[in-house]
Amino acid sequence: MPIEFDNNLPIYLQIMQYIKRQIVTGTLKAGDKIPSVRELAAELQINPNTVQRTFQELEREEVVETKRGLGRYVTSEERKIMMIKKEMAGELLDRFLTGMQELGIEEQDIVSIVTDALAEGSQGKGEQTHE
Amino acid sequence: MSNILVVNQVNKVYGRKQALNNVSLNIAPGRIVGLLGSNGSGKSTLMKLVAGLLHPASGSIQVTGKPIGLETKSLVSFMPDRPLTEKWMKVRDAIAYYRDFYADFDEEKAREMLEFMNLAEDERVSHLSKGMNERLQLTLALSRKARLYLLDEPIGGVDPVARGKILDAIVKFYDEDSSLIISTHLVNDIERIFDEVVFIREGKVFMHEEVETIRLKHGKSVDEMFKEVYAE
Amino acid sequence: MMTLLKYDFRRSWNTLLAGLVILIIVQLALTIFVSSGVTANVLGMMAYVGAGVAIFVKMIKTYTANIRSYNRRLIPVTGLSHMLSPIIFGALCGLGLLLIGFVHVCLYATLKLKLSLFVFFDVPNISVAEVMSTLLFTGWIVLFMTIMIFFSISVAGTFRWKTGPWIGIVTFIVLINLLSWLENIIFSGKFSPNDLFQFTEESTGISFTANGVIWADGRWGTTVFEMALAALLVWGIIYMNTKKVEV
Repeated sequence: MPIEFDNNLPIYLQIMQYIKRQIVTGTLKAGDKIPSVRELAAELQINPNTVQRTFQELEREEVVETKRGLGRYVTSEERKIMMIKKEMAGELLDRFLTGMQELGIEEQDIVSIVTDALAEGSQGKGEQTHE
Repeated sequence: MSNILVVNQVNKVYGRKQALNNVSLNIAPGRIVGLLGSNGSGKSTLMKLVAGLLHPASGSIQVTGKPIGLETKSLVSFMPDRPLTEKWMKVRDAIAYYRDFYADFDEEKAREMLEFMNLAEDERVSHLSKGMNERLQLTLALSRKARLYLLDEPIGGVDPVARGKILDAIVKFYDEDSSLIISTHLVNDIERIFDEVVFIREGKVFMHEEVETIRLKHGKSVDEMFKEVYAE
Repeated sequence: MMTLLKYDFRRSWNTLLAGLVILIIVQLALTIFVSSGVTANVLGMMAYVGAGVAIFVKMIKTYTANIRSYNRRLIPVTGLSHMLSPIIFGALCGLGLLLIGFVHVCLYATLKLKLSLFVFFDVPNISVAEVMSTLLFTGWIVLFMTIMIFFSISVAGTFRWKTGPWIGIVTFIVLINLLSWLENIIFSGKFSPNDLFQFTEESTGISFTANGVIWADGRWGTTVFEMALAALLVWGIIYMNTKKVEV
């Protein structure tokens, strides 16, 4: 089932995000085997060269490693995975902060808004589990 | 590896109309190329020239270094905008025809693809709907182990389900030694499988660019670029 | 080329069968319903000639369709094969027709005329050599005419306008006249098909006299000339089909 990609942005970057997300959320665990170029291209319905480029970039970033004759695997270093998580969180945070600043919200207010939202969120979850 | 297709300063004239004007193009192996343009821009003419159905008024075309002729017909698999089957044929006759004339035809693969496309072998070709016919033509064209595949509007006039199956078949089928040129004016659905696109306008090559470069440099999808280029 | 031939036959199979059935029905009807033997024979002959013409036309149509169809032009087959396939198709159908005619005549002779079969093989005034050379000569004339027609069709094919067919017809007429004129100039005496065959009607049936080919008085000269011309036309046909005909 092909995912919707944004055709306005380079697809290889989007696939990189897709794979990183799978690693960070645990869908792809440390040391797991990654599908081959062909398999992934067929699954996502995209050009195999694009997938190839994605894998090359991921290897360069050491998110993924190639074991000769065996295929491509997610890095087995937990530390690396934590780094990716932090990176992705950092990107989200940057976007959030920029968005909030554009709305004209002051820095102190941002912190209290976030704290309140988190409290409400866990309360909501708490209510759900009590039901 | 050297280029699979070299088009060198080709001109083609129909009566008073200049269908192709000094067109030059190089395609490397292992590429999926989109040939984009509005109707009448010269896409089909270019494909027919490479397939050997038309002859250039001037200029030359080579496939794997060989000039267009008997030898290149064995290297090029063309799916034109009209069916390549004869009215008396059933699906299995069409398969037999390809098997008999093309040494690179893979019958096994053809049967697999027929199943994938839900085509029955004893169905009469004349009884197939337009969508089913397109699937058959595509099966025939892709079941050959050619060096260059030319698909003229493979997804036009086809329902979205068939479209998905066709794109799937194209991607599954990819080979590093051969290249595919796909002409279309329905860019949105298909741009994710292109490596590079060639824009043809009024018989001239307007742009030949890698798809990801268009996205990176211009921040636009190929579809948007297309609409800009061909805006009235 | 054999593969091409196979597909030419497969495409026309239904038409050929239908034609055969019609021919047989016509012949049977003539035998049963027409009382006058002479009339029946003449009409029967005409039916065979009609079938022959139909085969010839079918062959021409096959050629015309083949040089324009995408699926034929895309296959890696030589131009010569594309040209020969309809000719051999026509020849085989023609031979088939002759065979049917021969069987018909044998049946007719043994059943209706109650003659023994050996009568046929004992005719004193026709020698086997003359029959053979007559058949070959007829075959040559048909072949040459076919080549000229194919040439005209290919010429018509190089033009994209609607006037295509007219150009073909004009080309053919020009060729025929050019041929007679050249042969007149180069060889004395004009050759006409009437010199070859004569049909005469008698009360006991039809007799068929063949003068055969008289090689001695220079008639073979025209044949050699025609062969050279044919070779030139064939080269022209193949050149046009591969380089000039547009689809």
